[in-house]
Amino acid sequence: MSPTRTELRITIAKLIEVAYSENKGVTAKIVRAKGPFKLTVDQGGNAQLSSQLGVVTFSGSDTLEKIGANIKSVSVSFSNTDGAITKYTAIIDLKVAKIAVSGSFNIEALITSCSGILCSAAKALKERHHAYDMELQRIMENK
Amino acid sequence: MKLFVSLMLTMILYGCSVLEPEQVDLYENYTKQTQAVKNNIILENRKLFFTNRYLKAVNPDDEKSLLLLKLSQYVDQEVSHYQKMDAQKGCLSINGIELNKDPVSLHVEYKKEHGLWLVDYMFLHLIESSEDYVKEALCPRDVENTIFK
Repeated sequence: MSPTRTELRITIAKLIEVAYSENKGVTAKIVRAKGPFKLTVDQGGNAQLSSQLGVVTFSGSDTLEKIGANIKSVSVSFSNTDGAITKYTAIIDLKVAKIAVSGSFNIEALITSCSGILCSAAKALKERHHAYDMELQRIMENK
Repeated sequence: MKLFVSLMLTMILYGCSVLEPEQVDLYENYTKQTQAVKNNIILENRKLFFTNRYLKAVNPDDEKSLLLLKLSQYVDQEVSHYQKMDAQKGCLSINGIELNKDPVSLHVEYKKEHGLWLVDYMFLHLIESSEDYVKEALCPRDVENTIFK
């Protein structure tokens, strides 16, 4: 099953959520500040969210596992120009092919979406949680 | 002297013929490839469409890696296509629409191997608007530069 653009966007949101659960303080500082920041995941699943303000490292393996593709690496460039809406372009490297997807979202909506019982349940299950995915889709497609 | 001049002329003509891009309809190759995907026979016919280098990344027993053979299926309806050739490679860009009506561009690089022009690299660009459709052929390795320019 080929990953859809919505699934790819949800995956990016989930990676930020994982960074946030790993280190709330630094993640919030990075994503809320005006200016560029970057998210990368290498072939081993080692993920890094970084900007001039700091670095958060975490595992992106579980999140990428759910995409129907063998991923060599992921690189997402974010740009928060007005402090509210963050634009991004993700490049998914499949070794002999690449997929690019862009979009924009409200960062506050994203980092507050994972504070309730719904997100805890989704994490505990470690599998697709439809309602949670729908909420992330709404945020990542800026609806 | 005559021998030297004719030898030089022969060398110049040979040089020109080597550097001249071959005239190939890459879109015809692409159409056959998409038909093979639609008919679900791309796996057994993969060597007719992809280079050895490309196929090294495909494990026939791994469902996830088969996506590499089926990237063209993202383009449900084609809107336009462009191609460019040089002596070493050919590049084909397809503008189209996904099944869910979102616009998409697929960029394919072809290389000649065993007398056939085969897919060696692809870039699937899930663009946000049809205004982002390309208006000329782009080689896949150049797409990233245009995104971040």
